[in-house]
Amino acid sequence: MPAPLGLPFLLQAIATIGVGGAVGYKAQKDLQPVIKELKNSPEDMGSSELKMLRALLLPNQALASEVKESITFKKDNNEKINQNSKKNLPLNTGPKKTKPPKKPNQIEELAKDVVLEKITEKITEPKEKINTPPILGVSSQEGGKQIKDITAGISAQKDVVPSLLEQGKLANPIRSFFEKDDGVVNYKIGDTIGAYGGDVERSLDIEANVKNDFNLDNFSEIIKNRAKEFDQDAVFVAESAPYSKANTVGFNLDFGSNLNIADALKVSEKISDTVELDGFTFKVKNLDTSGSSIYLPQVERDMEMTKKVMDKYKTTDQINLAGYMMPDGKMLNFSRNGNVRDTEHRRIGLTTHPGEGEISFGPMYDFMNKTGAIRLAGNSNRLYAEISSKPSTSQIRKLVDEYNQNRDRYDSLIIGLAMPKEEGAIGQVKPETAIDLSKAIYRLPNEAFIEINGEKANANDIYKKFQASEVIGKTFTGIRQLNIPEFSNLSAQEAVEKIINLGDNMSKIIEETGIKTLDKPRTKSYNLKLFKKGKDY
Amino acid sequence: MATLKEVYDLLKEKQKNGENIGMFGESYIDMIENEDKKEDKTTKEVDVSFVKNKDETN
Repeated sequence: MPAPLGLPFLLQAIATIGVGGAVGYKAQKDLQPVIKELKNSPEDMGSSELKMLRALLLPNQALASEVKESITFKKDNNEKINQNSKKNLPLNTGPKKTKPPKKPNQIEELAKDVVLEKITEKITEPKEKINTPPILGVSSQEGGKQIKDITAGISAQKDVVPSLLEQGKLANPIRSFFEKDDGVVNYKIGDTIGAYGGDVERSLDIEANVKNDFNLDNFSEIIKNRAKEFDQDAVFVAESAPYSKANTVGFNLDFGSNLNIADALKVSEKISDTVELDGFTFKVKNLDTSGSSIYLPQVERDMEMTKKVMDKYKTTDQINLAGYMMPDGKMLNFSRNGNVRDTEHRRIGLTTHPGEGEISFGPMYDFMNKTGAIRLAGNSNRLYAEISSKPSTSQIRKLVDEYNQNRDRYDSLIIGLAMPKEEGAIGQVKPETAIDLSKAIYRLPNEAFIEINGEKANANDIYKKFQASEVIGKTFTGIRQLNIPEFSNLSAQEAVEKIINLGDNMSKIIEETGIKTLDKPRTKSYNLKLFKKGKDY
Repeated sequence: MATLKEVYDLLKEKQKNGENIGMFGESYIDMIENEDKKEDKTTKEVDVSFVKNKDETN
């Protein structure tokens, strides 16, 4: 017997409150001029004020990656030696939006959402050394079980914009829960700042991938506690579920475009308005990969450099021992102990760029660009590959095979793009800067261009997405979640009409804006629980 | 109240009758029809949204 689509409480709540934890707060007065300015000129994402704001808000992707990079695995999987370093301030990904169903035209999310990415292996010292807020997790389980990842949106806001410390306070118990719970594969907690009806609004959103035996009730208690402490009116938790056990659905849709990020934001607005008409609630995420080197003219392969590294390093068939995968699929052995990769990726520079040291990341990226090598991190439960040029079909196939054939070992597959931006840059990066990977001192921030969690990967789909990126462009806007609270009060007939209308409206947007879909929409079914103040906490 | 299955049945009927069910309608049908074929996922997703009552007087 299918579960009812009923979300009566949710609908009731949604009718009177904003959704997504990001609605309606007063701003600190001194931030208002900045927001006003941004509203008038959204492309001015690189203003010093906003940079400062971001600097205050955001932990650093690059920092987390740097930390990860600095980790050296020892013979025993459980023993990890960490080095810590912290460097430049974070770079953003695109904005993310949570749309309340009421007063749509009051809502403008102008600032980019910050996606805190992170990584993780179990490290201890870096936690104390890093001067980043507690929102960011950098930890993992023993036994090679890697955890953590991050994206963003909560709100702890009342009369003033919450400080990063407050955001951390709000997020910390949740993060702690995730880190202690073996059922958590990875999670994303992000810090979002935007302007809503003239008010600065700051929130956190939480997404996690968990094992099937994850206890949602236990987690819900943590969430309710947070909602109570921060005086939230309601909170809902949704877990993906088979349709027979689900009570609502969500839609995913990825777009690609050649738009700059400011115009992409406008498209996001249109999409949100379209969906608004149907009364749906949802999130939009923008991922600006325009600075990525996969869009730059690909350099001719440096065969001499390739030979040099092939002579220096032995090859391996074990991805957990490998540091890089060459375009033909051969993998360079970066393991001295034979158990795990225990050699820093940057050491490749000693071979390819002798005399330039092994600290800077520039030689590493130069090597990757000139040879087409992919940087690998496959010694945990997440198979991670970083690219700085377009991957070959052999590389994609090999990654997918490795992941698919070892599903008991990997919970996710991520192909990240190096984002060669200027340090601290927020806006689009000029090609001359972007291409200059070879001068990168620090590990570059990266975006998860491909992310597969808990399900089989399809090499053709991945390949198609890279192909699409060549044709369609650089800025991707994705609807990642589309809850349909109206389902609770809708008849089946009404629900069908909504779904059809939504599709029609979306088609119009696509036609009007020229934005292209990267793939067909995907529908997922969710079991959603709503908790309300006064009733549940 | 509608169930996911009921919504599916109606969409399917419209599709059979040649009516336009839109991109999301088609996606919806795919979700239901492909669920049984899917290899079991080893993970599931959890999303949390906090909801703050907007003070309409402000």
